[in-house]
Amino acid sequence: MSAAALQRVVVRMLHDPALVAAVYADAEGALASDDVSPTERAWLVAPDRRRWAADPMRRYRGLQALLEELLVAGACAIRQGGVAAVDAFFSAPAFHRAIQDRQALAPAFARWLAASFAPPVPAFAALEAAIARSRRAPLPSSSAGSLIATAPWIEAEQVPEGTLAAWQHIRAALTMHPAGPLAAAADAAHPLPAVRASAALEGLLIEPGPAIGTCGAELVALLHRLRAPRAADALGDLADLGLDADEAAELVAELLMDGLLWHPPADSGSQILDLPA
Amino acid sequence: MTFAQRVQRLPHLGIGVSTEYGAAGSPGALDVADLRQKHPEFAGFLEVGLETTKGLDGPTRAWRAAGLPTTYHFLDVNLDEPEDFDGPWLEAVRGFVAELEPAWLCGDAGLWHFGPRDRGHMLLLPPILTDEVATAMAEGIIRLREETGREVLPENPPGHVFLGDLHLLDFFARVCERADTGLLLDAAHLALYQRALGHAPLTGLDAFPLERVVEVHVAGAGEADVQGLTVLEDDHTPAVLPDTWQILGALAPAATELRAVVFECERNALPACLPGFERIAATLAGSPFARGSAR
Repeated sequence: MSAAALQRVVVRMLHDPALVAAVYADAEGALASDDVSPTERAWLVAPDRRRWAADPMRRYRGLQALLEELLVAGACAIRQGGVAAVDAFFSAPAFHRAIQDRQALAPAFARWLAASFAPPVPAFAALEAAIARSRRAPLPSSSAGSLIATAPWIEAEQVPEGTLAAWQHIRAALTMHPAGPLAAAADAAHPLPAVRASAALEGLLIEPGPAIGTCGAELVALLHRLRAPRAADALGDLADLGLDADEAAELVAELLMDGLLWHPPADSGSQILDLPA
Repeated sequence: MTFAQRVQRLPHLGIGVSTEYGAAGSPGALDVADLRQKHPEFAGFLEVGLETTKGLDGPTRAWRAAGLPTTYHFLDVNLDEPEDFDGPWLEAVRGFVAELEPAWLCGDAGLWHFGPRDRGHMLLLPPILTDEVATAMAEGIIRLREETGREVLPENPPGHVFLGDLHLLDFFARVCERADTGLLLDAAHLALYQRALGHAPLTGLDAFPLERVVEVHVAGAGEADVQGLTVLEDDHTPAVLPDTWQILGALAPAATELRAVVFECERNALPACLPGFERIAATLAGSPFARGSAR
């Protein structure tokens, strides 16, 4: 029995009328995978069921907050299925898992969008999730040690060619709505530039700001590889990225100088990925 | 030192008002400077609702710059979650404590956010009312008191759904005893709880250690229809429920250590709020609180 687990079930029920209906119909079945006792399940169904719906705006506020971060991906998803299709996140297993596991919601929403909607939504979701991670990255502490890693505030993604340009055009179009970008995202009648699908890929480098630019696939691969800190003398396995030992050392020195890599404190491995990628 | 000894050092703040970031900018909002000028007896202090990521707004900074008293009402910590006391948050809190020099810290002892503290995660739910959570809450209060060097008064939160096997007042009696602390009793929140559970307004109050009540909140509440069910909303209007007045009246003679009373009406114009202030003063007339104010 865990009060924390029960409290998280409460949060889920306050957001999801479908879960409320399921719990009131069969609490044991609806919460079979959750750490709540029979007594706690009885508490959940004790209040008048309508009390769970006392704040009708809660879910809309939640969606608004998510769309603020996943604006272009959300707008394109709405163009594909309407607001209801995007609002369905709050009844999806991805939402319930994120709440129950005490995870941040924005990355969960980004992954769900990418898995639930057709291109170009997955590419925009990947880009905007990377921006969200960069924004939340811990501030740099001391950068002096023998370990080398990708700086926590740096993100790199490989997406279909043209994604960055299309994302910028769509963002600009969303700002043209008289009621603002969020209203534009939700207004399926507000026109957005067409996005041409491309089989080719482009690498994106996201720095705080955000400052977003394109980069080579090799750099994306290197930055992903160095998410996990490693010793400076253990960079020899970068040959598969087309780098011999000397080239690897030279590139690492450059990236350290540019702030794309850093020397994390020895015990900082767990803080680098504040939000799951 | 015990709470009974520490409370003697707390200042008597009288009747005051609350604010939070941007509240003063709402159309028709209460102008605290104007209130202080016209009715200083109702503006003894400013309770500053603070989310560390938002900080202080202009009117609050002006109040503080004038050297006027404050309390720090946190809006962003789950006291029963040890992982919520992270270094950057604690550092920010200590910074605001240094800036505001509040008489004490206080705030709803409930769930201020789900998941990690993050944008879009904020809400306010009551705690699960069990003995286990009371212990965890008390540990958080002690930790925050030690981290800030200030008294930390838990407040009973509002809600529509309350779960657990304890009455809310029994829960907070245990929290206060285990943290050896005082309480911010929100009379409006208590009225909402009693109605939600089908209790009379004063149920459980006779068994509560009222000498631990250091601060009281009074606020209005409105009715809302939810699929045919009438629920009460803690809307901070000047329309105070009769139940809330009844609770305040019952507290008045017995809350011997009461130091501060807030009329939460920050988004309403002064003329609409004045009758509420006056009724608070009248209800507390002759009480230990009023005698403390007179000193």
